[in-house]
Amino acid sequence: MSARRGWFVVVVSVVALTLVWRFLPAGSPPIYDGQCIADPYVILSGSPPAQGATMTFPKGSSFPAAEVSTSETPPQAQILMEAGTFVNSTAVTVTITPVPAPAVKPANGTIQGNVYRFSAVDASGTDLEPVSSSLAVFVILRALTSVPAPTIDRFNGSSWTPLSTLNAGCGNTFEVTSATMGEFATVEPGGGGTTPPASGGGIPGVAIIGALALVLIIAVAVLFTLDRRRSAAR
Amino acid sequence: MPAGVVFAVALLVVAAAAGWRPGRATVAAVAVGALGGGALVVAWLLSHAAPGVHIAPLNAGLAIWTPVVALVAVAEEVALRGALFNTVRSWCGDGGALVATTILFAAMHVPLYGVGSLPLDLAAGLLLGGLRIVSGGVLAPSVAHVVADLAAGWLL
Repeated sequence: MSARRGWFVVVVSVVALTLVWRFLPAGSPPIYDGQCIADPYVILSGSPPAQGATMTFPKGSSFPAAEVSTSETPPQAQILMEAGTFVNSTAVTVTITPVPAPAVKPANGTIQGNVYRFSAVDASGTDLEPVSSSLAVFVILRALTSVPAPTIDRFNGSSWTPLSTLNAGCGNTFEVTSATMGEFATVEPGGGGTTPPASGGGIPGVAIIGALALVLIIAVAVLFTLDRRRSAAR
Repeated sequence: MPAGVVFAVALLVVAAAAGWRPGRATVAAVAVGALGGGALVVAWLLSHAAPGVHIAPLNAGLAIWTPVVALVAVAEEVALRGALFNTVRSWCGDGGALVATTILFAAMHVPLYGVGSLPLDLAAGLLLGGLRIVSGGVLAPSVAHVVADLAAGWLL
């Protein structure tokens, strides 16, 4: 195959990539790859229970770009903030707290895993919101499964609203942008139950390594078989 | 992370056992690879729903993650677009090698990302295979693969 045909393959693949990203974003990892081993999902009522996270940012001229995440691998809840997201005339404390699921159920499915409350308060305890919609925060939550692709819903105190959700890759993590803080949860379309299995969700590390080892063994077998045929043909 | 390193080393051992040896590095191959990596990232940016793209704050996790992911990406290229591509090409030409390596590349990512990732990884594998044909070696697809994978951690 000539270099010209190689370039043709490249162009076709770029078009295919763009179409896949455009029409199947929820099924696609954040970009392409990355290595991770996901710990079992930890539920709020488990032992030990799911943990929250908090971080205080000192008073400054501008709120810094920052992230706050829970301590699991990968984090079950994470918030990413751009520089200037909050008014920083006093210290700002950003907190992620796992909370019991509200009695109100989402209309678009069933909550998977924990509900997390994301909040930001100033030194006097007043709740803060991002200063503008262009400085919306990134909320990343881990789901129990990625098939079917869940949405992340936001609870405003009376109802749940599904948000435009993207697959964030490792360990069934999904992300949304939100111009408001509040309570968020991953919601499986159609059902599945609010209580995850006791062993947690995600793909066990042993299963991943086993599957990769299987692929490796197949690759070795193919390589040596083809090499033997090539040698025999000479 | 340790599993990633073990996986990468295993792939490199397999490639070496299959007779793969590194070729001569050229600036042109690096440039082609950078172009391919840019295409992979731009294709993602065109569909990015967030209001902007941001660079992640440096932290210890990212500092460890970066070289491990780069190592795994290069190892995958050496094994697939290096050893396997050469072997299959000698048997059924560039076209067969392109198809075989693209399918295997997509299949080996299913355990981590699920079957939903197959369309994307087939397209990405096709691009990397195209770069392999254009450049004649694994350096170009390796550069593109590393650029795309690192963008997954560094761009928000």
